[in-house]
Amino acid sequence: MSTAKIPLTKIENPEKTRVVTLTVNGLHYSVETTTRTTLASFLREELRLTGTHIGCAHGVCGACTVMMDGQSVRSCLMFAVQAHGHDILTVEGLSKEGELTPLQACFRAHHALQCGYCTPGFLITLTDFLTHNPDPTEKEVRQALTGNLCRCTGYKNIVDAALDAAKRMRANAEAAA
Amino acid sequence: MAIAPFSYHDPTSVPEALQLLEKLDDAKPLAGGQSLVPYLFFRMERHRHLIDLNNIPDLSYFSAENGFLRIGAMTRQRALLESKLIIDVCPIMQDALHLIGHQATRTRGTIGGSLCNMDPSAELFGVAALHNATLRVRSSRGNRAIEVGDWAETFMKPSMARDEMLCEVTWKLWPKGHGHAFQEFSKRHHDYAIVASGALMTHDGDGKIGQVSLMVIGLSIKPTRLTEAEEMLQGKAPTAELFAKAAKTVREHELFPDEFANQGYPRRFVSAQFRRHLGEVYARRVMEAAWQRVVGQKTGRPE
Repeated sequence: MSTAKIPLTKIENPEKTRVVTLTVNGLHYSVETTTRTTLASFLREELRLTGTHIGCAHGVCGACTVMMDGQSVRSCLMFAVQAHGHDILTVEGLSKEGELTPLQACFRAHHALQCGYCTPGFLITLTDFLTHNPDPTEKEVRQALTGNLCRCTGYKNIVDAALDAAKRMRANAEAAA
Repeated sequence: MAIAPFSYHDPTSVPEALQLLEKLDDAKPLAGGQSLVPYLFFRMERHRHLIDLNNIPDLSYFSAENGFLRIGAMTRQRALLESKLIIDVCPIMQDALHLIGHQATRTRGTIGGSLCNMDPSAELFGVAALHNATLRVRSSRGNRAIEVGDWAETFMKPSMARDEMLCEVTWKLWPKGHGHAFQEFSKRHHDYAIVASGALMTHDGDGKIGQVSLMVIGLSIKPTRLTEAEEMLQGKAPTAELFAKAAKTVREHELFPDEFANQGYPRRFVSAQFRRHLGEVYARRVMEAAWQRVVGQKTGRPE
């Protein structure tokens, strides 16, 4: 497990550099970074959480999608300073104690990834989507995925995985109730 | 890839933001950043100062009181989309918001950011135009209200001074149970609209159209209100022929000025003729759909 870093020396020019304090996957971090660093680069380069991928770096491909305060955002279209004080969830934080979430398990079962580059973004987008829409139609799943590009699968298996995951998650919820 | 260096400012109140805007040279307010940040990446834009408005809670609110909808400029598209109040009082917003960007961009994207970016394809500018919205801007010098018809100065530039900032958009709500429709044509779902059209309509209780508002986006730098078509429909019993005739008036409207006709996606790939054709088709479709909804609600039938 990584440990939270300690804030560095005092900042000389707060317009250019800041100490960003935030929670990522349940861990607290306080890290100095330049104000023009995007959240995506910050996660990858400062926190070494390289599960979040950068595809296009201008908000088109969705590979960098992370959750901020429970809602999916493009981490390449935000500056790290804007995540100050917020709660971030990346793909690394999805599974608990090495056990895949139903969605991740369905991605594996349905072969919903090939090269895997886009997968972190798909998982986060769908985690957000299925939380708010536990019983979606195929059309709704496809609409929710319009913001994520995959060049390998042709999407069919991803949609199948999402629908199956929704089913499993509903069954889990019923069993728990 | 990195954005050219800038100085970052994060005011926590509107007066503080206005002071910075007045004081700093080449300062740009940063709202949701879903368009501005890509522009900065592409270096289509470069600013010495960015004033981040995301830490000003006073700009994020919406309410429907005394027949008026008021929306703070920093209200997220997602907040509006998920609001029961908006579904109830202004259902056309839902239709339009579903067509904007994607789930993750709507989390950050704001109504004020969209109105100030003023992309000719922007759905929310169209919704504001349909409702004759009033945009409230502030500066250290004072406050001012701009009618939506006067909002556009030129291509992708609202008529605000350098030190002014949009704080609120407000419009009069239509009567409960009014008909509405918002549809758009794009190459793929959620892509930039090539053309979109919206309609609001009421029933006069006697089988005729009461109040009506129509607009098309994608023809010009700002939404085109179809005033002639509105006049043709008011007080008439709707027929397919009447809607088709009214939709034809789209062809009379001004298009993008030549210097902007080919600027930016998707205009670059779509001829003016095709845009006009789409405008006519979509205007007719939303008229029909809005009327269907009024009638459906009148008779209590499900849509």
